[in-house]
Amino acid sequence: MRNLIIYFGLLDFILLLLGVIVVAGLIGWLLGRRSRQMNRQAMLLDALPYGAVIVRADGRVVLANAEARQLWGTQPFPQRLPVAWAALCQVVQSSRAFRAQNLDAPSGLKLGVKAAPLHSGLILFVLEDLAARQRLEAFYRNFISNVSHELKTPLTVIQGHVAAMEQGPVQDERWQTSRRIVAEEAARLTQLVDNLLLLSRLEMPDFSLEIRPVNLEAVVEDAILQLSDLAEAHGISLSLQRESDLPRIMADRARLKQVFINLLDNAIKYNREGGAVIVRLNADGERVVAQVTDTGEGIPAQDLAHIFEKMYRAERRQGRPVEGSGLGLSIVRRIVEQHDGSISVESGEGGSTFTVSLPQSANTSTKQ
Amino acid sequence: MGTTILLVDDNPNVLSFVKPALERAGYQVTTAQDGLEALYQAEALKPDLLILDIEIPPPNGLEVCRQLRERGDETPILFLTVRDSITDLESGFERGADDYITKPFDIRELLARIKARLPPQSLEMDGYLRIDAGRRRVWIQQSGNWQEVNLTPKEFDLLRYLVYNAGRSIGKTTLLEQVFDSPEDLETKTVEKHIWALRQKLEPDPHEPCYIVNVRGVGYKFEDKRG
Repeated sequence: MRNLIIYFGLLDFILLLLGVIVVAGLIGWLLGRRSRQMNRQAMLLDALPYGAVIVRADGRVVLANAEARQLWGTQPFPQRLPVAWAALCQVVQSSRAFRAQNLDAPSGLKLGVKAAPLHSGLILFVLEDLAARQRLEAFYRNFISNVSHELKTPLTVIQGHVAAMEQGPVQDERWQTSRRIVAEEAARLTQLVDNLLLLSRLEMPDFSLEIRPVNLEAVVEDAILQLSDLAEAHGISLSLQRESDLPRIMADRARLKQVFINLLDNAIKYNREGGAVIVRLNADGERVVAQVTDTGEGIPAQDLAHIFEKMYRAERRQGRPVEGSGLGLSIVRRIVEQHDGSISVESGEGGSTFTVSLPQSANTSTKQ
Repeated sequence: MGTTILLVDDNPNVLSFVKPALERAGYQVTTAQDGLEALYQAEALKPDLLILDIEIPPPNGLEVCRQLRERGDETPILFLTVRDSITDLESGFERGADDYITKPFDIRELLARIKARLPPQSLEMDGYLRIDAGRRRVWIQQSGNWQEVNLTPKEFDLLRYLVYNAGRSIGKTTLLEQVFDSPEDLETKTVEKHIWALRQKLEPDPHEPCYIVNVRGVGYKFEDKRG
């Protein structure tokens, strides 16, 4: 065998060195890009107001933002999530769908956890301190309650003086129109304040119903009588039909009256000129059913699923202005559900029917 | 001397419409704008009734009420308040309040509550109808003379309930529950029958009632034409 002699000159050495430098630079650039990407992701996550953690499907932690590290309470943030959390990872990974669950963190905090699948098998956890959220909600409830109470005194003065103006000598038409407008707007504002106060009270954690035997017919009569002036102003006829003997139900009379005031108020305001509102009461086995039917323009189909949501207001046909605050029906649903009852709505172009079904004896002792 | 009312509220704009309305209804009204003045006036004036705002400069309305009851003063007290939660109301009643009305209020409702809290007395309306709630007697004026009307006990109870709630619409079922002994055994037709009988006995024209008027087919209202 002949000896193989390889000549390795200076030029070859320089070329080899350059090659090594290029390969090392490429590796460094690739690693740096990954690091820059991670840094960008970390910066993005750190900017979120919530705790955010990105994990692999097996529970290994890829990234955790500053808020998450603070909520977690231990340093450093673990490289792998505890069992209960990892189980949530697997559920999200297998279903490829969003999941929400309350979980305990090592810090002792109860966290609201929302988990959503990302690309490449990663999962994003969004963490929220439930106690802090409750404190914030309580702050807003108290704020709304205090402001609403403060508004009541000036409203008393406005309404009182407007009523007193009625007692005085009759003035010209312009004066009467102004007086009527002030009275109507003050009444609207009063209703808004009352609804805000009632909703904030219904959402209080310690809220409970005052349960006693209630005659539903008397409650509906009271609501009809309270709204009779409004119905007259809109030219709407209000009537009550009892279609069978009604048992007394165990309920909170004042709250139940509010249900029918809100339903009738809507039925009057969203009715046509000269229309009608009929309340039908019926016993159905162990339940009492009340139906409030109007002859209005109906609720657009796309709004039906949302009308019981807070602050939601259905569009009106024929471009009429939308009245109300969007609080009335959410109050209705909340009160009905607190009585273990149910509410549904059917609507067409000839009008809407709201059906409230209430048990004779509501299991409300532990309700909030 | 007529019925005197001590009206306590720190807001002069509230006093400026409530006081004239009470005076138009025939009451003598003295006002106070803080707790100390209220306690002084209650002692000096010995009013027949106190209308007391809760949120007044100290001592507040609840404290004024407590101090009056501690002194043995049993004057009926009607609270005015912007707060209407059960807890707020309970604390008022614990301190000896008789009734409450929440702001904003309808002046007719305030007048009805006042009437309900004052001792039974003779009421006269339009120079036509006179009611002595204490002795349960009723008169109407015919041809310049007062003629006593014989009412059954339930007719009188029904009339008294409507008169004490004058200006407010009351549902038939509520009347049944409030006036009759075993309302669950009775129908609202019982109320209708008694209303019909009352109108026959009291109204100048029973076919066109001007005192006990229908409201929306589900209730009645006593129209107090004086107020």
